[in-house]
Amino acid sequence: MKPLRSIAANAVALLLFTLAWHATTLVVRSPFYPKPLDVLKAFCKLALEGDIEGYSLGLHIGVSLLRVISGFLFACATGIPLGLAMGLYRPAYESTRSIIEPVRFIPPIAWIPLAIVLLRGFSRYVFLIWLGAFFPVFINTLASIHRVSQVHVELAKVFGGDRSFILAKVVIPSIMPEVLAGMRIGLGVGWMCIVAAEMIGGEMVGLGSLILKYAELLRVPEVICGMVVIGVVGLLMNELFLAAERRLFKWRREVVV
Amino acid sequence: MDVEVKGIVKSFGELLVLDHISFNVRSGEFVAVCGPTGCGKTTLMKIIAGLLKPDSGEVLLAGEPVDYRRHNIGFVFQEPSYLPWRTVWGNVKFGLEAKVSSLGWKLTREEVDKRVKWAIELVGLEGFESYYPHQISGGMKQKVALAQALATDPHLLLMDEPFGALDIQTRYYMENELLRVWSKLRKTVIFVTHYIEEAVYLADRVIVLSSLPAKVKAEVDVSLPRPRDVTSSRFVEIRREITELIRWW
Repeated sequence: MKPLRSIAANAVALLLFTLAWHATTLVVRSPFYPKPLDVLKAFCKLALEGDIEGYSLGLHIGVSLLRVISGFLFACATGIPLGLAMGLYRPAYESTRSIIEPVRFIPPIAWIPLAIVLLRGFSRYVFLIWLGAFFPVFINTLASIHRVSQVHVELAKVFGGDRSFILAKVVIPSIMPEVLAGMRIGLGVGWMCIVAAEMIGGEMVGLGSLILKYAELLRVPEVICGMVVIGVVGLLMNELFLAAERRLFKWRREVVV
Repeated sequence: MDVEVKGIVKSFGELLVLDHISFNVRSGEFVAVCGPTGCGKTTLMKIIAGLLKPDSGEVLLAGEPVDYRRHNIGFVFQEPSYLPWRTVWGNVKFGLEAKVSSLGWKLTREEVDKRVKWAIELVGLEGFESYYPHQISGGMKQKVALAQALATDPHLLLMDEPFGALDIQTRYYMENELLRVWSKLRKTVIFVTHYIEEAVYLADRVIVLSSLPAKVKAEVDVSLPRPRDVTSSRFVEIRREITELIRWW
């Protein structure tokens, strides 16, 4: 679809969705099922005046972003080198599968009790987001090694290229698209962990904290507002990443979502 | 550089692929290795390049066992070997980068650029330096591979069915381009193909291999002046002779 058409179509879909939402509120008529307009009002109030404790929405977003990005960067700093090492030296992965694979399927929420007992402050957030972001980054890097073409390796060899040359000039450029795609997914998953992470943080700022704060007060419009903001920020981060991928990998015909 | 291929034997598991292959190539000679599809020609080329170890036998370059770190070998692969993330310029530069970073070649940045420019002009790719491989045609991609190999000024140029994936017209064009470049540089070339006409059109001498396990069936001298006329009686005669030798059906 052409960009302009796509924007127009999405605007129409969004409008229809909002109208449908509004229509259902007329049927349901529950005080805990707000109208779109109530959420918009809550948004304006949170953005302009701040929450019940005076923290503005911008601050909530900023603090959550800082936590997620820290955890995400930590996940990249660990996941990429480990994935690269295990991808290049396959036995290391094959012989530790029994540890890696089960851990991968433990949801970050299940780690919360341990995180409460063992960690405090900022490190709790970083740990939980790291758990969410690490595996997409790690697994994508690991799997990407297969993408390295044997012909490219032989080409480098026949020119006399040594191991470090092959790593720097063949392996890393070959796997970059996969690694970046893994990073994009990891950032998304890390961002999705923000509510769980902030549930245990015990601090009053952050989008997750905002949702929980208003949930306790049974004020649903603010809760939905927090949810929508999480969704939209996630979308923007993803789009930003995609734009970077398109720029970096313009040698590929297209970047597939 | 003289090449001596001496009694190469290679098997993959139970399957004997190369059965005592021996032949010599004189310095500056253009030799084609011709044989049926799947007879181990690629394996032979990789052994000559030193990328694969033979079970027995040896390959000598100017009297020394082949070593791609010591000898300067250019290899044009059958499969697409261009690096898709590099431009034409970056691809042609790749071999020189390897030589500088891994083999300690003393070349300044200007000297590297000069060589890249020279190689690009030699194969006629000027104007396409900043194009990415997916933006250029199949023939041009093979020119990139040729320029990449020539930029390092190789002692020996190994070409493994480099034009196999091209359509007929592009193939004729590329064969003539290759001859044009070769007549300028007079590199020692070993050119693998299963197209008999291509072998006779290009080479000074054709080494004919049998089907598996591959043996050298014959060496045919093609003492025809270039440019060769594929319809001349002598050409047709040589082509027929090789076709008879190679017939495996």
